[in-house]
Amino acid sequence: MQFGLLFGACPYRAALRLGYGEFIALIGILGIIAGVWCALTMIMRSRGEN
Amino acid sequence: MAAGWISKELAVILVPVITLISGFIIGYLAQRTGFCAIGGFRDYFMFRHTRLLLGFISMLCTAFVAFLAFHLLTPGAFEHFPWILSSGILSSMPGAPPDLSTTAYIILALVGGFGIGVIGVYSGGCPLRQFVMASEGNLKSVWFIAGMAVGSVVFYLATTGVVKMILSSLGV
Repeated sequence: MQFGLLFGACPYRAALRLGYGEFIALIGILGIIAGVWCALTMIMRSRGEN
Repeated sequence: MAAGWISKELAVILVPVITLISGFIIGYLAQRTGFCAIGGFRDYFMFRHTRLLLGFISMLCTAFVAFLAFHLLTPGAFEHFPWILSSGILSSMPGAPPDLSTTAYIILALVGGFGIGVIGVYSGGCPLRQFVMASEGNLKSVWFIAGMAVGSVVFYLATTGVVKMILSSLGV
């Protein structure tokens, strides 16, 4: 969980921080969305090749 | 925080008790609903299912409404409540490595969020989901939790210094 500490939050703390009115948390959540999308694309691609 | 509500001696007893009760309720609800933040985005991208994603969004909205309600009920309970107004638009709350520039925090948020997303998809859930799965008897999640504990120690011993070195060499 090095990445989580880099950002200083797990998804829940990110949501709470965004609720508290902090903009960095929104960037972090966008990063999470991008990461999920990339991982899914990689998984789909590796399954497609097999 | 929460200045003036209760005395300090009472808070020492009450805060752990309330935390325990909240943890019990959250664990129960998370097990019943299968709540997962990363799972919400994953299900949306894969199947266009919005059930878990709506859970995450409603949690976000509820957090804001609850903060606002407590702020209005007891002014001063949250000293910096609209953080964006009190501390500037791009300042970071404590939690990430301290004393860095704004650009560094944006980079860290992007890299960290990206890493959480990728790891979350490959390990099958966000940290809360891993705890729930471990309690359900999934050994893989127990290893995930152990890795989380070791990882946070390694982070404070080694990674913080390395990250600061990389950032300063990049000039941000």
